[in-house]
Amino acid sequence: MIGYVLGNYLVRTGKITREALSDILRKMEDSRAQLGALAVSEGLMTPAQAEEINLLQAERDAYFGDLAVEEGYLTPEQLKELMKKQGDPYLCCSKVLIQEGILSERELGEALEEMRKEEGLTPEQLEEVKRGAVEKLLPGFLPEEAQDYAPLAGTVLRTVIRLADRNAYPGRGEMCERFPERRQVHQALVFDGGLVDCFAEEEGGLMELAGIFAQEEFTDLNEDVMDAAGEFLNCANGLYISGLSRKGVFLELKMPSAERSAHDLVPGSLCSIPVYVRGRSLRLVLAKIAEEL
Amino acid sequence: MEEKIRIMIVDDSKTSRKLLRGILERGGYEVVCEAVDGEDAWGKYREIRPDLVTMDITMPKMDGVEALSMIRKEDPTARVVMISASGQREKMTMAIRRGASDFITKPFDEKKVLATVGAVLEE
Ligand SMILES: [Mg+2]
Repeated sequence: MIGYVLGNYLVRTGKITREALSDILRKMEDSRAQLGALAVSEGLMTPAQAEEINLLQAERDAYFGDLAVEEGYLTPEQLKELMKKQGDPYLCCSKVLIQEGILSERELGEALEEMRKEEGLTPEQLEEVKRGAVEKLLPGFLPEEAQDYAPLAGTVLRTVIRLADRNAYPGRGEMCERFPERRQVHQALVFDGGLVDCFAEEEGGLMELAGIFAQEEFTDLNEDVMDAAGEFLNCANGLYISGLSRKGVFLELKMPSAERSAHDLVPGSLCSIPVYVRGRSLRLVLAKIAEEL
Repeated sequence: MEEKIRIMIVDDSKTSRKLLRGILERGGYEVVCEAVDGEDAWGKYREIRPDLVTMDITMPKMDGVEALSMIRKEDPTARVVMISASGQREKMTMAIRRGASDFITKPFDEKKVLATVGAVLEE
C-alpha cells in the first residue's frame, strides 16, 4: 500500500532511515478496517452477504466494494460513505509521518510530487495509488516494451494482496535476458502463442508467499515451497483467464512447472518485476511464448 | 459409535491436499486416502470405495475429468466433487455432464467446502 511505496521512496532518497520506516509501518498496520467488516458493523450488509462477496472474489478479480454494489448489497452512495469511514490509506500514512515529526506537511507534499514524477505516474494514477490501488503503479513501473503485461501482472499482484499480504507492493520492472537463477515456478497461458509467468525467489519473498498460502512455516526453499507457489500462481492466472473469457478471449492454462525451457520464448520479451511480500522480495517474471508454426 | 464418512482426496499438489485434508477432518470426515493423479485415483477408488471423492482437474498423467469418467463408469453411484482454480469453466461443465456432483473453486474456503460436501452427501 501507499505507506510502503512512499516509505521506500523516502528511504531511497535518504529522507528517513529503514529503521524509522519499519517503525512507522508498524504504527500504520491494521489502523484501517477491512471494507467488508465495516459494512457489517455499520449494519449495511449481513455477515452472510459479506461472506458471499468474499467467495465471489475467488472467481472474480474485483474489489469487495465493487462486487457488493454489483450484487445489489450496497448502493454506490453507501460504498462511497463506507470508503470515507474506512479512511484514505494515504491519510492514515501521512498522519503518522507528520505526527511522528518525520516530515512536515509541506515536505510530505513535495516528496509525494517528486515520487510521482520519478515513478512516471499521472496525477490521476497517483490518486488511485493513494487510495490503495498499488497495481496502478504497474504501468509506470514497467518498461515501454512490457506495457502489455500490466493487466496480467496487475491480477497477480492483486491476488497476492488479497490472499497473502495486503501490504504487498511492486517495484520497478526491467527487461532481462533470461529467467533468474534462483528457484522458480512457471505457468503458461496459451492461445496461438501466449504468455508465461513465473515466480522466482529473491530475498525470501517467495518463501513468505508460499508459507502464508500453505499455512506453514517454511525454513528452506524446498519442494513444498515450490508446490505452494505453483498453486498460488495457478489461482492468480485462473482469475486472469476467467476475466478474459468474460470478454470472449479464451486461454488455456498449462500445469505449473519448474521447467525453465519448456517454451520457445519471443526473444527480448522477458520482463522481471520485484514484488515485496512482508517486506521481502520475490520476482514476477513474464515472457511471451512464440507462436507455434 | 457412528462410522465416519470416508473421503478420498485427489490432487497433484501436496499443498492443496494438506489444506483440504485439514478442512475435511475439522468437518468430522475421515480422509481415507490421497491420490496424486488420475491414474492413481482410479486404482485407489476401486480398492477403497470411498463415500466421496474430491477431484482436482489439472493433474499430470490422467486429468480429473478423465478420472471422473473412469470412476463413474465403474461405479455409476460414485460421488465426485471437482476442484479447480477459477478459469476452468469449460472443463467444469464437461465434468458435470459426465456425472460430477458439484465443484469447488481454489483457493479453498472452509465453509464453502464443507457446505458443498455436506450437500452432495445428502443427495
Ligand atoms: Mg492440479
